[in-house]
Amino acid sequence: MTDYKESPETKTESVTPKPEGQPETPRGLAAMQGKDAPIEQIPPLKESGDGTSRDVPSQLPSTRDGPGQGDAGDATEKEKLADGFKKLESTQAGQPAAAAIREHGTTIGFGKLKEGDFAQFDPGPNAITINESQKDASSEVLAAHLAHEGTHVQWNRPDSINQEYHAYKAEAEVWNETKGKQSDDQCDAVDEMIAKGEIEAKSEIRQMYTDLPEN
Amino acid sequence: MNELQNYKLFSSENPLFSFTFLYPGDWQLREIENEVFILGPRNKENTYSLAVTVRVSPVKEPDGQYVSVEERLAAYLSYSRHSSSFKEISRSKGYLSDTEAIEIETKHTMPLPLNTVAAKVTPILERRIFLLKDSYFYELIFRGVQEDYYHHLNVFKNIVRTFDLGDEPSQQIYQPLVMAEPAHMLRESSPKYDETKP
Repeated sequence: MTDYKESPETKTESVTPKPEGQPETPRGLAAMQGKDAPIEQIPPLKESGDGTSRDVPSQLPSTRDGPGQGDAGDATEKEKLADGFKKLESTQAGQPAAAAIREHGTTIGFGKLKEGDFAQFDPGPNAITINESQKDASSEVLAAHLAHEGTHVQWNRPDSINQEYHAYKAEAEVWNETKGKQSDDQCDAVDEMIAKGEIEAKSEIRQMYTDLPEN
Repeated sequence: MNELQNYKLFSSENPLFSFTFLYPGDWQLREIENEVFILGPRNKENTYSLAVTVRVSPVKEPDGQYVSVEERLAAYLSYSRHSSSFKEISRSKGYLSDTEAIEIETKHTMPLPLNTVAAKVTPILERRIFLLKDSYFYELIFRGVQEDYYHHLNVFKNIVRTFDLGDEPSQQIYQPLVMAEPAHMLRESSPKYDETKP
């Protein structure tokens, strides 16, 4: 497991914003629905593209009406997403992202993504879409990517180098908390980058995301 | 010095950046906190850009300890070694702007574009020069995908050759911190050149 103790030169200067009114602990769907909800509930999964409701496992909330690029798919796929989200929420590092997803009512689903992104948060429809080619990914890998996208939900502002750094950092930390003996090329590479410290990691991010402002 | 014809002079009012150097006029320069970041061309796969960074950091650590260049290098290697397929290609000592310096060239791989389902394992090369002057560490970092790295190595060489910490004009014969050819192409010891010559 990577030690994230920051070296002196990588002293964190940046601040991770919290969504307005974000509670210390996730309030889950209770906040969105105005009623008590068990902590085990996950955010609403996306409805299929044709608007037809799908069967949903009984322990999960009903499929939420609303736009979305993705498709939560059949019950197995929904369970997969639910497991990924629960895994995210079970980690210390993933709790802020999970809380933000709950708080904002962000939907999660599988779908097609241009340019082969593993996952993407689209603030317009308020939807996190996981690439449909990753339906067989482990819940730990899904949790790591949900941590990344959930961080974008948490920041709730146009992307930046600073924001990407924190998204990758959350991804790496959740991956390290959950991976056990698994390896995954993408998550491991993100972990290696973040393990170099904030200054080095941001330097690499600048070389990948050349159009982003610093903050 | 025709090669430097389209170069710009970097100088800054930020007292932390009390050095000057020449850099390609069509590269984008940004001052970011304790770094001067110079963005170069994009690779052909449009996944990673070449860049030169000049980083300045205090010698004195927050805990009050002073560290040497060697210790800073060791710290750099300790975290870099965790990178995928990490390899130290070469290491040399020399002088830069009248100051003793250590240069290291390394290689590692990254799946690019990061966080995509069809990422391609891509070799990244990096050349980094460490030097300590007064109470600051300076790091000159040149990094890019392998193909771009070698294609633009002369740019880094020119930046290093013109790097001036602002003291007396440099008189020494310049020990080659930047080799003219890729390390794997060298058969003998590094060539030497005089920075006063074009």
